Amino acid sequence: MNAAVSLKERVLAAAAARPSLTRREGKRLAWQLVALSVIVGVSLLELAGGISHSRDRPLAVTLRLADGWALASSALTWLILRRRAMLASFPRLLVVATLATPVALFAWMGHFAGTAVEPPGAADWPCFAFTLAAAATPLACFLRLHKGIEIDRPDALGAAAGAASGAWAGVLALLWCPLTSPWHALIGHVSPIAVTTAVGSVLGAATLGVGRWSWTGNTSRGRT
Amino acid sequence: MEEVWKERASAAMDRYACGDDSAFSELYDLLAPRLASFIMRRTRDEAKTDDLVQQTFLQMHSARRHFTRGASVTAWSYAIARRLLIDGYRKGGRECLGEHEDSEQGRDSIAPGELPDMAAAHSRMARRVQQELLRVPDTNRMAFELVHGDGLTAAEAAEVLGTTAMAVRLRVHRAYEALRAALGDQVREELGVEP
Repeated sequence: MNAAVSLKERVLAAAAARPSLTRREGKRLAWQLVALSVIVGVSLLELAGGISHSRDRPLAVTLRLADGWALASSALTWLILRRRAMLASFPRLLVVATLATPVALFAWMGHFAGTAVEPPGAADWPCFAFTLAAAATPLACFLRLHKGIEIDRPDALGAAAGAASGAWAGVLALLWCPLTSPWHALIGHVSPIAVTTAVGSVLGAATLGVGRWSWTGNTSRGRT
Repeated sequence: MEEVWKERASAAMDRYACGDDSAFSELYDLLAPRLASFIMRRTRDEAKTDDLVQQTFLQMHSARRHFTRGASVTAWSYAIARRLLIDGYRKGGRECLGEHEDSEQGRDSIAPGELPDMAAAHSRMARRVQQELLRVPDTNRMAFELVHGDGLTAAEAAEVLGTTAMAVRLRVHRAYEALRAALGDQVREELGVEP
């Protein structure tokens, strides 16, 4: 009896010592982090020269390229947010969508290849670096926001978040980049999404899963 | 009714997610004995059980904002406890999933809502069932124990195990058939088990 009471007291005291966000506070934080991601992404785009950087390509083609990919990114994001329900087996559709994202971008850019004269000698790495830089903030925000939520497959949810972050960064990169050739698409646009997916998987396994509390108030997270 | 405590627990978790800190105490009272029973059956160790019950509640506290309105806190808490058990198992060797011969010790001592005389009456059969359950494949045994030992519905057990309710029913049925093959129809009579 005493042991049971003592255990309850310890649990309540530990919880009181480390306040957690309520549902309303969590929503507020989510909107703040979304706004932060948008601000950082748009700022990066403007710092890199904005849409005028892709002026060699007709604006209508650029917008079509970007808004079509924004639609695909929205679909992936929707699948992830739908998954936020705490339980139920991990949806295979989300895994398939994650793996298909880089392939879909390659196909989508290929659809526009040759529709405009491309500047000669353009490098691939600026788009690679731009996409990674723009994807970092939303991925970090997602991991921060969903810490400890995924019980079954934190690596898969992290990978999906990485793919979605890379996809949204890809929208900005498509607005900025005047190239659509297959090789450039592969190196400059598709490969960074593969990188963010892999990074998301590793970080997701470390942060999204169930963690063990220490009584000093820190949480160590060792996941499968 | 049997399901009332689950509804009360889910309602308490919902209030806690909304910021009513006093609901956590009620949630603890409703869930802790059941979680302890679930964990004890696998660890056979009171200190580890206490630790994992603490970890489960603190995880729920930490992630309370993610609790979906109308969801089952029972399934969620059992899923967290199961994950912590598996993590402990991977880190510390075979410390859970019942390999010990004195397997009745933990179950009989803290089964939730079980009166002492009922426990005594069923103890012999329960011991035999436990021994036979150890021969049942892990997946079938876990489903059987969640449904018949912990009182979860097939849907809740499916959420805990990350599978479908149909798969849970099938696993429970297989475990039940294995028990019945070993112990006869006494299984049903003594423990109120229905396939």
